[in-house]
Amino acid sequence: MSGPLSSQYVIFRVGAEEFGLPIAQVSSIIRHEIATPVPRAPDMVEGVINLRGRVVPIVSLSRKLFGSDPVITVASRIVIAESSNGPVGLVVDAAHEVATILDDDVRPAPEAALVAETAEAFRGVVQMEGRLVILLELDKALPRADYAATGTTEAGEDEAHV
Amino acid sequence: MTVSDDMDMQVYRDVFLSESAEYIQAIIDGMLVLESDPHDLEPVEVVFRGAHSLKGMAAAMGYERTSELTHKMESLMDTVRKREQSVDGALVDIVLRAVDVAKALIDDESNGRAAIDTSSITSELEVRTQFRSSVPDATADAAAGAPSAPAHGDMALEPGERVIHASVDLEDTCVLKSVRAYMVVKRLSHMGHVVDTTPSAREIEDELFDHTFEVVVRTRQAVGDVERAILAVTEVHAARVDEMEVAGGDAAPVETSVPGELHARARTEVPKLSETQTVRISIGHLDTLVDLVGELVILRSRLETLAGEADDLRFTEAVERLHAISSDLQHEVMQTRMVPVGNIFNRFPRMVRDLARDLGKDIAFEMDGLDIELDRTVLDEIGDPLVHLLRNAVDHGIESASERVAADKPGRGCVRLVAARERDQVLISVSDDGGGMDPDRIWAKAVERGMVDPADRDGYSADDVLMLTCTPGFSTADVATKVSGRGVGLDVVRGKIEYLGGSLHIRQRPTGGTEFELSLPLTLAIIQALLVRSSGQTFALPLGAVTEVFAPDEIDAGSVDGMPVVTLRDGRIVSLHRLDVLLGFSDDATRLPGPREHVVLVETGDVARALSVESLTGRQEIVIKPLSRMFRGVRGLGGATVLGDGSVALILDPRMLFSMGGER
Repeated sequence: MSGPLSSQYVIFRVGAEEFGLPIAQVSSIIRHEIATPVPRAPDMVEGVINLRGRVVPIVSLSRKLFGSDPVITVASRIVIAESSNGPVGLVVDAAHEVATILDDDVRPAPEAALVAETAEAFRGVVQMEGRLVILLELDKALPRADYAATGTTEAGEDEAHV
Repeated sequence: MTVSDDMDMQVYRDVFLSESAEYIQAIIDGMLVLESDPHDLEPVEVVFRGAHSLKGMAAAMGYERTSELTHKMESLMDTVRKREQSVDGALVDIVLRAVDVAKALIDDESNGRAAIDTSSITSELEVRTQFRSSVPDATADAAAGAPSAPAHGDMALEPGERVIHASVDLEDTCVLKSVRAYMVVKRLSHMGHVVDTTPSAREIEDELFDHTFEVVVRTRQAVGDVERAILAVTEVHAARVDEMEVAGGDAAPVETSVPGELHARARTEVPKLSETQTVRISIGHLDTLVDLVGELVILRSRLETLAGEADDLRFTEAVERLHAISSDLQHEVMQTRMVPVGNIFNRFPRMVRDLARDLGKDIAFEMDGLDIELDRTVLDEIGDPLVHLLRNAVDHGIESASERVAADKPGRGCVRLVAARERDQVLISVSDDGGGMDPDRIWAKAVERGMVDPADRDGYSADDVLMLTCTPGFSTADVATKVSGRGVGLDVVRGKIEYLGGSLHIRQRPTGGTEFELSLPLTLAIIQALLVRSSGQTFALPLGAVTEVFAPDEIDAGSVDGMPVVTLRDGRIVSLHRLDVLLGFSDDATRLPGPREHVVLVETGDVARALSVESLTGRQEIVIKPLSRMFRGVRGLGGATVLGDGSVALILDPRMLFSMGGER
């Protein structure tokens, strides 16, 4: 097989922006449900839900990217994606299409649109029929696994290997 | 190569990886035996065979560099086998290092990389192979050149035994002929003694045969059973199996010695497998099964609620039956997760040996109870704590040889690792016959650090004092050197064991030395928990840590220095903590329990604390589900569980819970 390299993306909306995630990273899309809050978790984490017996963390992209709580409507969805730390649910305002995007069409995100906190979460942007779609770098859009809410316990673990 | 070939190769690769790991372990074990007894010829044969098999398997997979390295190992061991040179420490070292490289190399090549440099180890192997430590004697030639096919009549047949000849035909499409042939031979060797193969075992392993090979086996089994066993091996196309006439027959067994090499082969050719029938199942399947059973348990508790409400006798009976069956199922599934501790213990002899060498100590390492089984999850978690305890024992427990001799002890120290089963617990003990820990020094240090009141000394037994080394904060470097390093990281070891629902004890052995004993639960995927509420949310508190529950009218609360405390029935006064404050739902840590609030007494380690909660909603068997690594930084949570109504409840970790809002 030859021809230009392309990938399929799931396109979803958060606030006024549209985002894309590679379809290979998305395992399902479910209706929004209220998550069980996790005390002392990072701000952008809504909590955890029971997804067919697995306990999956739910992250609000709206809080991460715009610093505001998402407005939950009937169109709200949770996109279940596979991060390097296991499955995670992204709260989005709507998830409406799957699009094929040519690798060559992906351009770096315009600098002006970036602030330091979100810059690394954007892999690039692509023009689709006049709309601008931001391609997400999933792991970078999530809270880091090594953050510590109340001081770290890791120092002690190192000693164990002395 | 077509797609389906690729998939086939993937399957072979998995088989190769798991079998090569067994051979590598066999080589390491063999070399360690040889190190303690250089004259034992059995391990020489095991190591030689192991290297030889690895070579053949790697070649079949196209892993040329692994094949070349293991060939060099084989050549070296061949010289030992032929008694052209004898085993010494340097030789053991070279082979052990070579097997380490082989292990890394297999990983390298099977992932399509070429990052490992083998040139220095192969040249070391070559140099040592050329080395001749003793004049070859006559027996060497005899052993090496032994005919591969002795007359079958030479075999001393025992009553009921027969000699069976099998001609096995593999399928034309068979890719790994040597592996299939090996499996046939292995099966037959379980049924009796494999007397001979044509071509020779070696040629079979080198795939120097077309599609057909022959095996002669001495067995008590019937011809039909042997045939069935052969045909059960995949890619065997056909087998012709018949009984051979033996000169002399049963009546007059001929007493003849078997040539040395063949004798050794018969004993060591095949790695030992357990007698019972087993299948390999991927861990993923087992985990899914456990998850599904967990779901079933949750659904069951929901049905039980419904049955209670419906008040229908037939419904209730059906649910009770379901309860019994699902309990049995749960038990059986948990059994499948049990793994012998030997699976992680087997890497320790090597580790202890290397460490002892580095430290210039002479240490005998003994292990026992390798077949004791533990839940896989528990086993995975205790590896690091055990490494830590063993290192401590070797490094700080055992004295130097000169100190030992001065103390009138044997110069060679002893470290023991023993597993034993006791009811629903598994006990694992790490002990040494060293100088032991000094309670007076530890006590002095604990006083200096303000961890204990000097006046309380009489209240502490010697073993209580030793346990102080497991207190967080005791472990700093300067203490470590003075109390022989035993403080370092022991709080972490104890934390891990307690997280697993177990406990750690330190004892002075009456004969001198120290014993660390780990008590571990057999399984931990399903536990009993107390469901408590805080700020309208349900949390699960492992019942193992709860020692008492107080209703609102039973609470005797007050303040000491402005900090809330509770007086227990026995007069003890313990600090009182609010769950809503620990969880960050409220700031007012000094507020005493309200008229409807309950108090739970939580004991971890030796510390009892009172925890005030909004309400108690019951006691339940819960299935522990891991929390995403995203929550690693949140202390005090041990996982999550799904309740009967499908909602998620977080599991509180009693040990870390009280430091959630900062230490107090």
